[in-house]
Amino acid sequence: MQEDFHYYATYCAAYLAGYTHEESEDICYCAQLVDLCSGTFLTKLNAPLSAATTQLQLEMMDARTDIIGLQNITRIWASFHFLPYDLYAQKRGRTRIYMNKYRLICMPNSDLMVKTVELAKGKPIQAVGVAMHVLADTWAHSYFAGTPSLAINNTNWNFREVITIEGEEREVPIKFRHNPSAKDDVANNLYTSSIFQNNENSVMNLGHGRAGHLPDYSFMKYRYIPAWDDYKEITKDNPSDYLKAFAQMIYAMKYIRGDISTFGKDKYDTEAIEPYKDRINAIIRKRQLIASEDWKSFGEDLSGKKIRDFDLEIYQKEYITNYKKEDTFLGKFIEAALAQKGMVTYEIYTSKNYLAGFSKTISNGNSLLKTIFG
Amino acid sequence: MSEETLALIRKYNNNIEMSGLGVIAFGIWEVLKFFIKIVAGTDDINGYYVLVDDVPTPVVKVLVVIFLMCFYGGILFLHVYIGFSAIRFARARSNKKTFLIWLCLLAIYSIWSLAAYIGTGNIREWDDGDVITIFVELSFMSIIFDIIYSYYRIKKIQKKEGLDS
Repeated sequence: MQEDFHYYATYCAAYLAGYTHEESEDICYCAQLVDLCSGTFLTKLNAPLSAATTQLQLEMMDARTDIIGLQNITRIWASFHFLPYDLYAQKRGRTRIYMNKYRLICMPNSDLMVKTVELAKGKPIQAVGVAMHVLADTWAHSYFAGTPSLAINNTNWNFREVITIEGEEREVPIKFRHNPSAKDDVANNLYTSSIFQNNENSVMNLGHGRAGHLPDYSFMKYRYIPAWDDYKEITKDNPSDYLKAFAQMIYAMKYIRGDISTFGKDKYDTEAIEPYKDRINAIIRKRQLIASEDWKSFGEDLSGKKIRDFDLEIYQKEYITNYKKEDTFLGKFIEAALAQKGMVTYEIYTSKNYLAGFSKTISNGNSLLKTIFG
Repeated sequence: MSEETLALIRKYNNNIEMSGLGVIAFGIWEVLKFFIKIVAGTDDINGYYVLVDDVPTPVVKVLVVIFLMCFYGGILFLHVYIGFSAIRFARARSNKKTFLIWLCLLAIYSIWSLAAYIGTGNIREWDDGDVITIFVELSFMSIIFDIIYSYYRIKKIQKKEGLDS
């Protein structure tokens, strides 16, 4: 997902969940920060690099793809952007190496997603933002894995957009080009995707690169064949998925606030969005590359207050100049990121999958202190 | 048609497409192999002609070169035609099956050629090059049979579903 959903839509969901305007701004700020908290950003702050929640394109170009490098990449992407659905999935006739990657495929409503939301309960508001980013991405990034793998993340060449005209569904071919500097052309169905790389562990085979930005466009409903599904075709209905993501975020945040006692899979707060369903659907289904203005306008109508634009700089000075880092805004975000990464890495490790590296929990006998990874 | 059946058809079409690319690659390899042999000196172009009294040697040589270029050009064209036709068939851009006839002829030629290669040589005198040549030929034959078998399976499934045209 992009800034339009991670920042502005998350603000709207937080406000509808009952948070104040200021709290909603903090939550959506942290949700968007997950997409920007790279090693480069942390180096500038002199913050722990293990808290990285993303990797920039330039960092990816220099990333090692030996086992250590792959583990580092997988830890970041699987923890924050491609949360694994079933770490114990079974598939006949496949090698261990293949199954380790197959089990990292992301889909919504997983056990790990429930753990992510439960982890944020009772924590500072920054943890809520991190959890909402992870939750939202499980919907957008479905059917891809947060580890470099040709065998899992490759797709066929035949992508078709499904358009409904006068109640009838029609398929329009999607054309891909490999020019990363060119903007996607919605009117002509021309999009950018990553070029085919036959190296299994190439970073170009990480995530949804082969599908370009299609998973991040809320209006897009399309069909394609992923490499992992034995030639079965997938229909990715982003308008429906994004609506569910929005409703699920409200439900999750109500649970985190304590308004709901338990949180489970497949739970959506459809009641909260009912008065605004038409408007939300209109924003989601509008054919535009980024819907920030529409979500922002919706959020400002909800709260009656102006939503500040995302600014990466605003909390940096506080973190750099403060001696007690853990009391600063970014300090709390870093704690939340480390906790999320530790939890996911631990779960992957205990499933006997070493693609995310090793993990150890530290407790004082009564309670879990933290989970470390490496 | 069920999703499993559609997936099976897609799988066999994908086999045809990949093998079609393989046929093109082998065609290019056949031509390259000849030129490499000439350049490396393992094959001599002078062995391809017999001098005739009233025809000047340079004329004969030019004719031989033209003939060889046409011959290997034809081989390349045949492989490329079969390969691209297989790819177009696999991507449902063409329903023509003429390429299968040429493919069968190529298969027969490959089997005959391999049998002749094995038959004329003494197995005890084979070197690495001979063994590799045989493996390459076997790989090419497996590609050809993959196309034929995949086509047969697609037709069988379509017939079973009542979609044979």
